[in-house]
Amino acid sequence: MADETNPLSHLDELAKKFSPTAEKIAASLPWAGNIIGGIDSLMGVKSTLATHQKKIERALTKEGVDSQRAHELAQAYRELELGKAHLREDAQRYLLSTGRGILEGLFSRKGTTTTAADFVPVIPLGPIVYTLGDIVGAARAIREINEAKAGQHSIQEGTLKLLAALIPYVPTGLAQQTLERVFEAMYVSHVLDTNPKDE
Amino acid sequence: MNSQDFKRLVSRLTYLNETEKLSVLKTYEIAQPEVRNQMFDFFMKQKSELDQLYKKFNDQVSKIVSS
Repeated sequence: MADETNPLSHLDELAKKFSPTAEKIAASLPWAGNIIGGIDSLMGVKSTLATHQKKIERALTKEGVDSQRAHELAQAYRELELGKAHLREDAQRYLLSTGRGILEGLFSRKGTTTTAADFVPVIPLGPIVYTLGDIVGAARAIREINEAKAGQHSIQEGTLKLLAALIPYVPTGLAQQTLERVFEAMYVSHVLDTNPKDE
Repeated sequence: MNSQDFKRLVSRLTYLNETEKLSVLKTYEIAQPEVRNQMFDFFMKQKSELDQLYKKFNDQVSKIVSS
């Protein structure tokens, strides 16, 4: 039961209604902000932050929290999430930059062959979303790197930029060998077949 | 500062999901020492900012509840 003397206890009760696991989550969250966070996770993350804020505000009001407090709590929650989103963006930019630095290091390893496996450890952040064009582009870039190492031509700045830009979009969940097979398959079917070398 | 410190630090950054934390750690493990130091400093700064965000949030919630 909600403690009528504490408006935040309504959040606890509310959290319990969203999911069978909510009670456990609420019990493990020691302070009020995390209870709101618990509700957040139970409601899913697909809606926008503004929609989320409204949902929380409506839910709190429905559960008996007065409208002014519900608005302020939801607003505080939104500010927290906005701050976290900004930190996340900073981290993505930073790690993209770091990943690029490590990629540049690959070029200095003379006499070795760069493969898709080299890229697995330098995948920093990003959605697990990629397109056929990304994979084909990466395969093309890998070929270019290896040709450059063989002395056939120099690496173009555009290739480096392409690789750096691709890092966040490579599927992070794929195992190294799987990722390598994907690159190889795409390399053969879309790069070699469509751009045969002159014999 | 060592690898364990960095792992603990990354594990406390609540805005990264588990996959992202692993990716950061992979990057960290293969980075050169100077890059590792930069990464450590960067995430220490982020952690400090995150702590400030939560402190502000807690203060706001406490104020709203007690009003």
